[in-house]
Amino acid sequence: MQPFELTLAEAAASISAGQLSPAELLESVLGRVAAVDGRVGAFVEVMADRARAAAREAGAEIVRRGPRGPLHGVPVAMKDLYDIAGLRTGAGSRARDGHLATADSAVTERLAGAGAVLFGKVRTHEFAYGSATPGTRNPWTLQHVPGGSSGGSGAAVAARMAPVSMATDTGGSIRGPAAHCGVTGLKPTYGLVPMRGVVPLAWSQDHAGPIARTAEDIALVMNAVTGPDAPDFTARLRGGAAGLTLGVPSAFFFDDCHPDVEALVREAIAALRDAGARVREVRPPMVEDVFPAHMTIMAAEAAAFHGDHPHRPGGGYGEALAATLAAGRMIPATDYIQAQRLRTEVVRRWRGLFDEVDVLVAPAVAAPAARYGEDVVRFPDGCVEPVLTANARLNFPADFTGLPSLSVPCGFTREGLPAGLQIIGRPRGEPEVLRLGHAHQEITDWARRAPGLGYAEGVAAPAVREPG
Amino acid sequence: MAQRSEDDRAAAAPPSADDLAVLLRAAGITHLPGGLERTAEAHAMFRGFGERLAALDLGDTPPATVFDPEWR
Repeated sequence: MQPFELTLAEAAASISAGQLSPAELLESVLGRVAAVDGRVGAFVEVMADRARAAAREAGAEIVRRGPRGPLHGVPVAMKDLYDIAGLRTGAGSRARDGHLATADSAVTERLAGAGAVLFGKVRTHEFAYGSATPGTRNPWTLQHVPGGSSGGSGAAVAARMAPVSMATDTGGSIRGPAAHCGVTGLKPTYGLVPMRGVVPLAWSQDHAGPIARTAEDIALVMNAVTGPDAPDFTARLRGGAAGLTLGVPSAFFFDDCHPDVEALVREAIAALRDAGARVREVRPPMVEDVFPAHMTIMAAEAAAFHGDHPHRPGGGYGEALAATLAAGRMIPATDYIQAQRLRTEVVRRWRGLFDEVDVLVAPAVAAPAARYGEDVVRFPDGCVEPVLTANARLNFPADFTGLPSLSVPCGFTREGLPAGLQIIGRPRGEPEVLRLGHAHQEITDWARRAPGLGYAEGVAAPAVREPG
Repeated sequence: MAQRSEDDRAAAAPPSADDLAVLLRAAGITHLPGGLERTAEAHAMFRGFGERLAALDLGDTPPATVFDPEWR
């Protein structure tokens, strides 16, 4: 096994045991990026020199005093929305040409404090407002998208180009790419991971969180990027599925779902039941009303953030985003307020759900990844649906309510595309959510599967890089 | 090929190009890189959402706010 193939936990154990140095791990990861990213297109920038210096420093400190923690000396890729002082935060847009971050984001600071080696910036859909991530391919099949907006993060982790990537989720942008790329992603409870220094999409729905290979790795990252009042995210990791009550939604989450995805998710739930979890049917309240309210809030807040910049000649915005932001600018304040009023009611009622169950389990995304360059997802029954709604509609409820939600890989469709099991918990219920995710990964091997990109260097790369 | 469940997500008809241009000017938008068509579609979708939200009976429920300690 090459160092770049190690999970975060495995890499940390090797570093702690003195079997692997941060410099060796980084060189292996950089070599992997050089070998396969020409085909995948996950990275917009690799900070090799800066990372090598950080890895040398980490290695020397570990020799002197031992590791600060599991992230010490481990390479981490950042979605290109997180500020790193002295570097451009591109946000996937030409509108950011000339930008230079003057300070680190809060997450950047915390990762650096934990000794992580920040080595690259990965691609986002333009200003995180979309779910395709143009320019990045799905490592499992290069004819498909990786999902979005954190498509670079999902693809980089799946292709073993980074053990961890920090991402963001406003309408499914962590869990969608995690599901589509066969890796694990956590959208934490609203506000648990600070958004300071991250380019916003919609403030009241934005969440920062990690994508990694396993629930265990996610827990380790969460311990580093949350504040001192947060729980120990690894504490209940090995509690198993027994003793947990899983709520399976009787409505909405399995409606209009790709049959392969539904079958895989139901198999995952059955496996957890066999492992000792109790399963009961629940009906999430008012869930059908979330979609229009979420879309209204997201568009209005995004339009407020961008102001008139998209509508200036030479502003650099893509046509699709500029059109959406123009329409967002015309949303009446009353519609926005009505959406936020609905949110109060939905939040109140959803919290009552967790008096009956510990977590909700459902598909993370209704359909497997769309074909690259197509605006719609095609279902086996002949129906089509816009990529944005197909990728995001099952993720909106957790963003809207602020509840923590994890996507773990749960198998492959007949086309060979990954699917994800979504686990939603109560506010600050990440320890239970991660416990169930870890239990699933103990009884299945989906999280250990790797795409067959091959390890050969110098393979001719198709032109996947696109502007913006 | 059938369209999946989009009728309730974008129920309102788009305004005419002239009407939309007036609305855009009122919002201070005189330059649209992709032309009017995409904006008209998105505008119609958001109008449909607004109509659906307006039809909800929420009593005296106040709007959610991220400053509520419940959110943290």
